[in-house]
Amino acid sequence: MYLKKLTLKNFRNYGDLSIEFSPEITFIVGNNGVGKSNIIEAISLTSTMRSFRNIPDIEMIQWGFESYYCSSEIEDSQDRLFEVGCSCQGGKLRKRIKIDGIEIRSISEFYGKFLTVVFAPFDINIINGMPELRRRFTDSVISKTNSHYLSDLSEFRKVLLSRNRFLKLLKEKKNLDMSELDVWDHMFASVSSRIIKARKKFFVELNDLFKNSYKGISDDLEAPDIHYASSIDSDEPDYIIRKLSEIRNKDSIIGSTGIGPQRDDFIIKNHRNINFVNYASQGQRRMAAICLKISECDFIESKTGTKAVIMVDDIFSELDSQRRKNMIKVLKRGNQIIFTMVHQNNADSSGFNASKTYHVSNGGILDELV
Amino acid sequence: MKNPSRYLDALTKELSRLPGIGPKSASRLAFHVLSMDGTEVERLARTLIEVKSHIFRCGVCGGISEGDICPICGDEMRERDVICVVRDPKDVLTIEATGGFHGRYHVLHGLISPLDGIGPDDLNIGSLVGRCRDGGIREIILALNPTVEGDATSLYLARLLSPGGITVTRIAHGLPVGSDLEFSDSATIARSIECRIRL
Ligand SMILES: Nc1ncnc2c1ncn2[C@@H]1O[C@H](COP(=O)(O)OP(=O)(O)OP(=O)(O)O)[C@@H](O)[C@H]1O
Ligand SMILES: [Mg+2]
Ligand SMILES: [Zn+2]
Repeated sequence: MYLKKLTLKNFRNYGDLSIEFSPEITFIVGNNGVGKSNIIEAISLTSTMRSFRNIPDIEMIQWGFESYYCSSEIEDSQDRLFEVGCSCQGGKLRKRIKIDGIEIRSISEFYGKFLTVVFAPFDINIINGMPELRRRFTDSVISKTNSHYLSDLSEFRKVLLSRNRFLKLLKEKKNLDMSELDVWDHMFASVSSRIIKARKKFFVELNDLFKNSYKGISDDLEAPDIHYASSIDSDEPDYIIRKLSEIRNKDSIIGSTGIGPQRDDFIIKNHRNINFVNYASQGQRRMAAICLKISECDFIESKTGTKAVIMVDDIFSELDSQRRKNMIKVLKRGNQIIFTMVHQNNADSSGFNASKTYHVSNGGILDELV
Repeated sequence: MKNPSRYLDALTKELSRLPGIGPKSASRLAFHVLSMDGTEVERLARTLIEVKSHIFRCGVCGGISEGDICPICGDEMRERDVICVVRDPKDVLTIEATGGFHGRYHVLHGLISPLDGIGPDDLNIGSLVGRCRDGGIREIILALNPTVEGDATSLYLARLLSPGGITVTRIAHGLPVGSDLEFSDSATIARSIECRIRL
């Protein structure tokens, strides 16, 4: 799968942009703040419907305008067109998404069709940061390859919200019909069970891929393991229902649900059972984050048979030259790659047959360097 | 855009509160009302008021009725031992239009939804329990939307009513008749497999 062409209208600092990519490797070079990441953001938007920087749509509309438009022309087994448009008029946000000209109504029809993986400097937060970021990573990777998982997640969110709202009402007025809570427990257990099962399976596969890529990039003799840390010991619905009834009193005092997929995490540990974050250096953590992303590419390929488009948003400046070489070596796996960087001398296209390089300057002006 | 008259403004505001009517259509409708002649407008206003003053909730099923009991509940020819539970009065019309159901109905007037502050007590459930307790009911068919709220309500009713020895079933959710598997989204297909029925 590769991205042939991106077209932007009033997106961030680009009024009108059309850019063609090499099927192998494309470099986007320019000083800080000229709009390199904005291009990556637009591509990721046409792939996942949202910004990889997790920023609301309204911020991506060019200042002084009321709407943006992005489209990606993809070459897969057939040509496909992914379009995302968003307008904000009178405070009302409207988003319109199309594949091959046909409007799409649910994310599950869109997600996982144009497959991309973004490497960004803040990926290190997956390793260092809050569990929430690890859950988001986990959910996005599984969702790209499994649309049932995506619909289970949205059902889960609604059930969890409903159960928590019931618990809050209970806290306020007490005389509620408790058999309604039984119903929410039941629904919570059955959708949680499906999510936990999918995550269990995912982490077994991810761990193998992760260890492989870790050995490929780092000089460490041993690669740590990824462990799924679920707040529930079993994925059996009956077991989950029992656990929920055990903590029911506590839940109703707090007004929220104490166990479940919303509390899941994953932990990286070495063979001595020591947490990776407790011993790894800053550089090692950065490598681990990169390895996670490479495992994501591998996982997508093993599940879908498709090579995702890889976008690397300026992570080179943080690596030493040896790691940089290793990284390029590891990324050279047949996927299309789009790099952004500040210094052109980092743009090493040796080993690739076809490369393109663009220079971005102030005002969102792109020049192809030949 | 500001309306030239506060009367027009008020009408536009009222109309835009109706479902499916945005500010633009509301304004267009309001101007249309203005261009209608007096008797037409009076007739429209009268029908609006009559609809509200002549229609009541059926004392048995909660559906719409011009008397104490709706024509369906009053129809001696209909099966008395099957009740189909729906959310809104308009769902009754939808199922009636199929001509495939010959029992009677029960209208809940909503679904359990904590996010909207709606619990079982806010729904027309008490009288359903009463109908079951009075006897003569063999089966309850739950025909509620396949959403989280619909599922929760179905589960609640199943747990409430099955201990009384009544069979509680749910309509199969899945592929629309005549639809092509290829063009249905995968959630629908998964759902229809999950809810498969024995033939
Ligand atoms: N909604 C918007 N409308 C117009 N311009 C915007 C908008 N949002 C951001 N920008 C501009 O985009 C620029 C940031 O672009 P981007 O993040 O792509 O920079 P970059 O080239 O990746 O820089 P760096 O090398 O520092 O990462 C800012 O200078 C900002 O002025
Ligand atoms: Mg940047
Ligand atoms: Zn009736």
